[in-house]
Amino acid sequence: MIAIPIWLLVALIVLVAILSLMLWTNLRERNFKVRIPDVDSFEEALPSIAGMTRAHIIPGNSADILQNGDEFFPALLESIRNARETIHFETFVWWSGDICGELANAFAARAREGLEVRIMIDALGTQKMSKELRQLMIDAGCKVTRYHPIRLIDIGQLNKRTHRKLAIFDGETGYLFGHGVSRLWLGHGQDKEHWRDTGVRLRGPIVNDVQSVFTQHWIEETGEVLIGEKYFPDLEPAGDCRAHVMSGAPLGGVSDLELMVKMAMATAQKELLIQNPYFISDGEMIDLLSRAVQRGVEVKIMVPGAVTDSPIVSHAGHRHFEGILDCGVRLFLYERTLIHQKIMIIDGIWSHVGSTNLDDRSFDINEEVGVGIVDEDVAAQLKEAFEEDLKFCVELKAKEWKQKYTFGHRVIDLACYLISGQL
Amino acid sequence: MRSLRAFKLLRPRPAEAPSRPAKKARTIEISRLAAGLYVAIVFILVLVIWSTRRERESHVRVPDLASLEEALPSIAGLTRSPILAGNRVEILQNGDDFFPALLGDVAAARETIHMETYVWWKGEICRRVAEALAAKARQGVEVRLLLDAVGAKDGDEKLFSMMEDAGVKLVLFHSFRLDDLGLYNNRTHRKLAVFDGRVAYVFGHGIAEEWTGHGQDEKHWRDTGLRLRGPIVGEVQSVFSENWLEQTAEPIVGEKYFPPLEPAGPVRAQMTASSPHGDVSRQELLFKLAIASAQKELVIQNPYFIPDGELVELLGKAIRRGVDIRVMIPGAVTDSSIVRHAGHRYFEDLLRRGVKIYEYRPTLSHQKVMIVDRLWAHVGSANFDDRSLDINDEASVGVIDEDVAGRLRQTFFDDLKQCDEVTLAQWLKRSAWHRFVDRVSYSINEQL
Repeated sequence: MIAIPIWLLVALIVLVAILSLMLWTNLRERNFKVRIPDVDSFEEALPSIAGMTRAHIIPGNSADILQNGDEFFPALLESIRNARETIHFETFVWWSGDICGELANAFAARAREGLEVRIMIDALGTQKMSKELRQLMIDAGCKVTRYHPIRLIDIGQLNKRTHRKLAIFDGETGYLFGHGVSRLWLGHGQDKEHWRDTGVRLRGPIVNDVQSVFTQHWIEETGEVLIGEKYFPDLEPAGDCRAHVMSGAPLGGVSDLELMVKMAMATAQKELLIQNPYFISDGEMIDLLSRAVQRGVEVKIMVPGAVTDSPIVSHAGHRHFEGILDCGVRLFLYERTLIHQKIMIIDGIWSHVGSTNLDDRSFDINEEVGVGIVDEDVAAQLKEAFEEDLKFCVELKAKEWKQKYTFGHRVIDLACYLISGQL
Repeated sequence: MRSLRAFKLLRPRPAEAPSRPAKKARTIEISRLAAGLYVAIVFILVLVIWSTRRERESHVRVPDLASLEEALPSIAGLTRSPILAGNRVEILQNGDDFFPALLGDVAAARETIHMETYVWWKGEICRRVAEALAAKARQGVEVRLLLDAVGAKDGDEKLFSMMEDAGVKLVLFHSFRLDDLGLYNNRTHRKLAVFDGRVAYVFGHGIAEEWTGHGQDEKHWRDTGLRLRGPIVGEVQSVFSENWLEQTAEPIVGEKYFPPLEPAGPVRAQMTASSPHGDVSRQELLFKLAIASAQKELVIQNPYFIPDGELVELLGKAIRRGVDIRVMIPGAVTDSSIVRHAGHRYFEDLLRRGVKIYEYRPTLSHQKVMIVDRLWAHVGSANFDDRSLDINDEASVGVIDEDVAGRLRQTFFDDLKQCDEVTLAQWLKRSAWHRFVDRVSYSINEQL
C-alpha cells in the first residue's frame, strides 16, 4: 500500500480526466448541417461541391465503366501487362487463392522486368492474405507496404483503415473501384458467390489527382516522396468528361465523402439514384432525402436484400427504413447477390464511383476515395445498369415493411444501430 | 471508458486503522496494483493522443532534373496543389499597398466577403477594417470573418460586437472549449480573403498597426501579399470553406461563392493548404520539394527561420549542385527572440555549406517569400519553423511566372541593401552565452 495525500489523488484523477478529454476531442466527429442551398440546377452546385472537398472540376478525361469482375479484372491485368515504368495499387481486401495469386504473379512479373511496383494494402483487410503471396511479390522486387499495421506508435490510429481502392499505371491510367481482390468479386454477379461491383478506368489530367491520393498514404507509411514524370506526367486531354476526385478525411474534421454525399442529396433537382451495400442513414440524411422528394426529385435507393456479408450493418440500416419510406423515397432490395458498388447518379449528368459506403465507418473513420464524373454518357451507362439491377430487386413498400417490422426486429435493429458507429 | 475504470480503481479504500494520528487522516492509501494501473493508463492515454497526431516523416530525395519546370507537376500532385492557368497576380508590399487594396475590394464586393486571419489586435486599422466590413453587412452582403481565437484575443471587444450587430458572421477559430480541448494547440495561421468568389488575397499581414506603413521603422513591419484573380480564386475559397465548415458546420454552396472563373491573366498558380494532423504536412513538403528542385537560385525571406536537419541537408545539396542560396531573416528587430535564437542553431552548418544569410536591419521583415530559379514564387502565411510546418493551419500560393518572380526578386535585392550579411568568421566569434541560449531555444522550438 502506498499512502498519498488526498490532493494528489484528486490531481491524478483530474490528469486522467483531462487526457481522456483531449483524446475524445481529438477524435470526436464534427457534426455539420447542410442547409438546402438556393440553386436552380445541379450543374450550378457542382463547383461548390468540388470546392468544398478541396478539389476542382478538371476537363478532358475519358471514363470507362467496368462492371463486375468480368470486365474489371481483365482490364486491370491488361494495364499491368502494358505498363512501362510505374505501377501503383492500393486496396483494402486482398485474400488468397484464384485471382489473388494471379494478380500477385502479374505484379511480380513486371517487377522482375524492372518496373517500379508499389503496393499499399490495408494491414487488417489483408489479414487473410497468405504470407507466401506477399513474399512472392517482395522477392520479385515489388515494394509492398501495409497500411497501419499493429504498431505501438500508431496505437491511436489503428481503428483507421484504408478502404481506398485504386490503381495507377505510369501516372496516366487510373482505376477507382469497389472490388476487393478475392474470388467473390469474379464473374458477373450471377449468384451469391459472385458479387456485383463497379469500377472506372480514367485517362486524362484527372489521373494526376488519383496519383496524388495514392502518394498520400505512401509517404505516410514509407516516407518516400515520388518526384518525376513517371509518376506525375504532363497529361494531355483524353476525352470529354469533366471529373473531380474526393479523398480527404481530416482527423476531427468532416470527411470529403460525407460532405459530398449530403451536398449531392441537398442539390439534386430531378433524379437521385443510389446503389450502396451498406446504408445506415442518420436523421439528417432522411431530412435531406425527404426535402429532395418534396422538391420533386425522384429518389431511388438500392441496397442488399437477403444476401449480405454483414447482417449487423443490414439490421442497423433497417432502423431508418420506415422514415425513408415515409418520406417518399423508393427503396429496392437486391436479391440475386451482394451489390457492393458505391454508385450515385444525379440528374442524368453526374455520377460517383468509388469506395465509400454510406455508413459511419466510411464517413468518420476510414480513408476513402471517389470520383465525381460530370458526363451524360457515363451517367446514362450507369443508369442503364441500375435499371438492369432493378430486375433483381424487390421494392420495399412502406405498408408491407410496417406489417412485417415486428417488435423483436426493432429491438435487434436498434441494438445494431447503436454499435453502428464503429462497423 | 478507460478513464471511468481508472476512477473506480482509485476510489478511496475505507480507512483500515482508525487509531492513526489526526495529521495522517488527510492521506489515502492505495494498493501498488492500483498505482501501477494508474501509471499504465496515463501512459497509454498519452501514447494514444500522441500517436493520433504525430508527425509523419517524409524524405525528399533530390530528383535528377533538367529544370524546375520538370518538377512542377510532381510538386503539385504531392502537395495537392494543382497548377491552374489563367490568373492575374498583383503584388502588394507592406501595409501601404495592402490595406487600401483590401478596403477597396471590401467596398466593391456585391454578395459575399470572406476573410480569415490570425492576428487581429487593436488600433486604427482594426477599426477601419471592422467598419468597412460592418458597412457591407448592413447593405446585405454576406460577410464571414474567421479569426483565430488566440491571435485575436487582444482584439477590441467593442469592435467585434459592432460587427456582429451589423450582421457580420464573426467566428473564432478553436476558442478554448472543453469539447475542443485537444485542438487548442492547433491554430489557424492562414491569412486570406475572398470577395464574391472572384477576387482573392493571400498574405502575411496581421490586422494591426504594426502592419501599416511601409516598413519605415521598428513599429511598422515589412510584409508581402498577393491579390489574385482567375481560376486560382476557387482554390482560395475552397481553403476558406474548409476552416469555416470545421468551425461553423455551414457548407457554402452556390455561384456567389464558387462562380465559374474565366481566365484573367497569363499566370499559372497553385494553392497549398496544410492542416497537419497525424499525416505529412503539405506545407513542409512544399518547402522541401522547392529546395530539392531548385537548379539555379533560391531566395528565402522568412521571419522565423528554424530549419531542421533534413532541410539543412537539402539546402546543402542544392549548394553542391550550384544553386545560389540567400536567406533573409530579421536582425535585432524581431517579435520573438527565442525563435531568433533557435534559428541560430544551424547557422554555422548552413554558413559552412555556403548558404548566404542576411539580417534585415530596419524593422521586422515578416513576409514569407521564397523564389526559385526566377520562375516559381511563394507567398503565404507559413513560417519556416515547426509550429507552421507541423501544427498550425497554413495557406500559401505558388506563382509560376517569370514576371511576378522577377518583381519579387527585385524587392528582395532592394531589401538586401539594408541587411547585414552574417559571415562565418564573425559567427564563430559569438560568445559562449549566445551559443548556450541558441541551444536551449532550439530544444524547445517545436512548440514555438
